[in-house]
Amino acid sequence: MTRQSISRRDFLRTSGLVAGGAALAACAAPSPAPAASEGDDSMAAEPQTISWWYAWGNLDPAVETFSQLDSFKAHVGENTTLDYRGSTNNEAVLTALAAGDPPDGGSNMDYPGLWARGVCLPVNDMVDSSEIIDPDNVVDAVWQGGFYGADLIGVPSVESFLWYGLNYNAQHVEEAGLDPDNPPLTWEGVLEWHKELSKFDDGGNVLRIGLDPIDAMAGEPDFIATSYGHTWWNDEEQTFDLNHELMAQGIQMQSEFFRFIGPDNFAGLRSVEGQGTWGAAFNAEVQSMIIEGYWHAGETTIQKPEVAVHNRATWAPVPAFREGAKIMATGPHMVQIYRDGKNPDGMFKVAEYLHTNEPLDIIFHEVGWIMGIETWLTTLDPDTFPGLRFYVDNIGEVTDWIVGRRSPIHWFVNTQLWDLREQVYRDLITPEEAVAELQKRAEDEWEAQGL
Amino acid sequence: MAASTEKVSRYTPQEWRNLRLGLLFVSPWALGFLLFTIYPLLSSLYYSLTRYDLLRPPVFLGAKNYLTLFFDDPHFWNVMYNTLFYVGLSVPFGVGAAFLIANMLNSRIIARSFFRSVIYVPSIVPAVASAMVWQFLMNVQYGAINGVLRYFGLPIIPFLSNPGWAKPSLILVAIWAQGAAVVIFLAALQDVPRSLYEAATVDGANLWHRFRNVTIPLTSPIILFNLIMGLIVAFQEFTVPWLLTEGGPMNSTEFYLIHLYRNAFEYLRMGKASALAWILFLIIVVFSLIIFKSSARWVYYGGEK
Repeated sequence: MTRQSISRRDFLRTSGLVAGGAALAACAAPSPAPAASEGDDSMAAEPQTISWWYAWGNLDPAVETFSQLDSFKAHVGENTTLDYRGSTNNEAVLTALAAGDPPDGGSNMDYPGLWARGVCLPVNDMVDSSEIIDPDNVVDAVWQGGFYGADLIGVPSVESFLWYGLNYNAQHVEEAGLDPDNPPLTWEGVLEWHKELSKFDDGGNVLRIGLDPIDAMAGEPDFIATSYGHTWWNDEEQTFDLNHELMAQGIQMQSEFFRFIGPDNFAGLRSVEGQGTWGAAFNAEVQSMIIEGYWHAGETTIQKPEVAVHNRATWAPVPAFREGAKIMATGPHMVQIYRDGKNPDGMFKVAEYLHTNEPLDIIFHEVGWIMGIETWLTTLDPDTFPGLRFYVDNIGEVTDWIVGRRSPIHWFVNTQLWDLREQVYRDLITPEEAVAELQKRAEDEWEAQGL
Repeated sequence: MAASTEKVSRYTPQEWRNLRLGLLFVSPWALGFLLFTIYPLLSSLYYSLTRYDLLRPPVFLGAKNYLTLFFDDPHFWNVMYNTLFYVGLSVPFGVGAAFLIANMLNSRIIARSFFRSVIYVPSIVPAVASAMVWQFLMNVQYGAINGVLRYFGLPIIPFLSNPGWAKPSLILVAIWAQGAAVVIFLAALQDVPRSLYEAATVDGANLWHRFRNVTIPLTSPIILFNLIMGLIVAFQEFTVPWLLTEGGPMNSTEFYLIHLYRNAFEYLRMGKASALAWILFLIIVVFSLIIFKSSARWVYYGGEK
C-alpha cells in the first residue's frame, strides 16, 4: 500500500536536510568563470576587480563618469571592473581592515593614522616605475606631504591643493556697509566684520553670523597654530607643543567670536543650519565668512550657485602682530593602498589614471576639486568658479607654509581642542589652562595608543 | 555488569534518534549563540585587558584600561554623572508616564482606539526622524516651542544649546517615546479581573483606592519588567543624543555609549572601549539586581510568596 501522508517527524527531517543543503550550497565558493576560449582576445585577460573606498560622497558622479571612458578602460584593463564605494564611513573601513578583507585602496581616510598602524603599503617603488606619475610635476608641498620619513604612504591624487583662505559673501558685506574690495587680513579686522555682518532680530535671536571661527578648516589645531605662527606637532621628533602662549592667544581670539553671538545661540544656530556640517551655514546664507580652502569656490558653485556668485576669497587671518604673514596649508589626499588588498597593482593603476588630464578635468567640473599637478593647473580657468582665482594666482605669495594633519592623533587633538575651547568661551577655564590640559591629554593619548 | 549495561542503555535507540534530531534542530541557534554572542563577549573581555586598535595585534596590559578609566580619563566621571542623571530621571518618569497613559487609555474615553494607536507612533518612527522633529521643536532660535514662548513674551529656553538644559531636554524626549511600555501596560491592565474592582467598589473604595490597592499590585510584575527594560535601554542610549547634541554642549550630554563609541572608532582605543563595555555591563547587572532584590517588597505575584 502506498503511503499517502508523511509524519511530522519526516517532514521536519526532510525540510531540515533540504534547508541544510541549501545553506551549504549558498556558502559554497562560486564556480570559477568559464575559461577564455583560445584566440578570443577580449577574454584573454583574467577578469579583475579593483575595489576603492572613498570616505566622502562628493566624488561619486565624477567616478561614474570617468570610469566609463575608453581611456580609463584602456589603462586599467578592458576586463577590469572598478568597484567604487563612496561615503564609506570610518567604521566600515576599520572593520574591513581588522577582518583582513579590506578594499584594495582607500581615500580621504585618516592617512597618517592608518599608516602608523601598518595597514598601508609604501608606494615608492610603484611610483618610481610609473611612466605616468611625475613627482616633479606635482606642487612640491603636496607631494612631500605624502611622505613619512622615506616612505610615500599613498599616491597623492584626486584633490590636493591649497587649504586656507577667508571666503566671504560680498553681497552681505556690501549690505553691511563694508568694502568687499578691502577685506580684513587680521583677526582683529575679521572680528570687526563679524560684528558688522552678524544680524539679530528684535528678540535678540541670531539671524546671521559673520564668521563661525571653528567651521571648516578654522576649527582644527593646525589652523589656529599656523595663524599665530606656531607649530604644535613636530613631525621629526613626534612630539607635541600645544601648551604654548600662542595657542592660548588663538583660542582666546576665537572665543571672542562666540561671546559676541552668545554660546547658546551659536550652538543653536550650528545645530539647525546644515546640522552643523562643514560649510553648510555659508551655503544657507546664515554665515557670511568661512575659513576653508580652494574647494569652497567650486563646491559652493555646484551646490548653491546663487550663493556662489557672491563669493570672494582672500588670505586667512593672522593676529595683528603678524600682519603681512600669508599663511597657507596643503597636504595630499591620496589613494592609499592597503596591505591586505587583493589587487594593489590595479589600485595603483587607478591612482596613475587620476594623474591624467581627462579625470582631472571631470573632477574639477563635476566636483570642484583641484589636484596640484602643475602642467594641468596651467590649463585650468581660474574664473570657472567665483573666488577660485585668489588661490590659483597667489600660490607664489605664501609666506608661511604648513603641511596639515600630520600627527597620527590629529583627530584626537582636534576633538579635545573643541572640548576645551568651549570651556574657554563659556568662561569656565582660561585659555592657558585649556592649552595646558590639551598638552596633557595629547601626551597621555600618544602613550596610551603605543605609537 | 548487568547493572552497567542497564546504565549505558538508559536511552533507547529511539531516544538517541530524538536527541540527535533535537540537537540538529537547535544547532543553528546554538552555533549562532556561540559564534555571535559568546565568542564576541569573551573576546571583548580579553580585549579590555589589552591595548588594541583593531589594526595591530593586541598588547596585554592587565587592568590598565580599567585603572585609566577610573583615575586618568578626564571625561569618565562626567560621563558617569551624565548617564546616571539621565537614567535616574528618564526611567522612573518614563515608566510612570507610560503607566498613567495606559490607565487613561484603559478607561472609557472618546476615540480610545485612535489614542492607543497614536501613543505607539513614537515607537515605530525611526529615531533619526523623531530626533529631527525634536531638533526643530527645541531649537533655541527657530524652535516651535520657543516661537510660542516668544509670542507670549516669555523668556526663551535654550533646550539643547545650554549645558544646564540639555540633559532635561533629552529626558523629555525619552519620556515621550514610551509607546512600547504603554502597550505592555495596557495588556497587563486588561488582565486585571473586573471582579476585584467591583468588590472594592462594594467595600467603599474610591478611584484612588482602587488604583492604589488593585491596579498597582496586580500590574506590579509588569512595572518591574518595564523598569528593568527601561534601565537597560537608558544606560545604552546613543542615537537620539548623538543626533541632537553629539554629546554637547560642554559634554553635558556625553552619555556612556557616546564615550564608548568615541574611544572605539574615533580614537581607535578598542581595548579601552571594551573595558567601558564591561563596566557598563556590571553597572546594569548591579542596578538590575537591586531592583530585583527590592521587588520582593513591592511586586505581587498572584499569591506566591
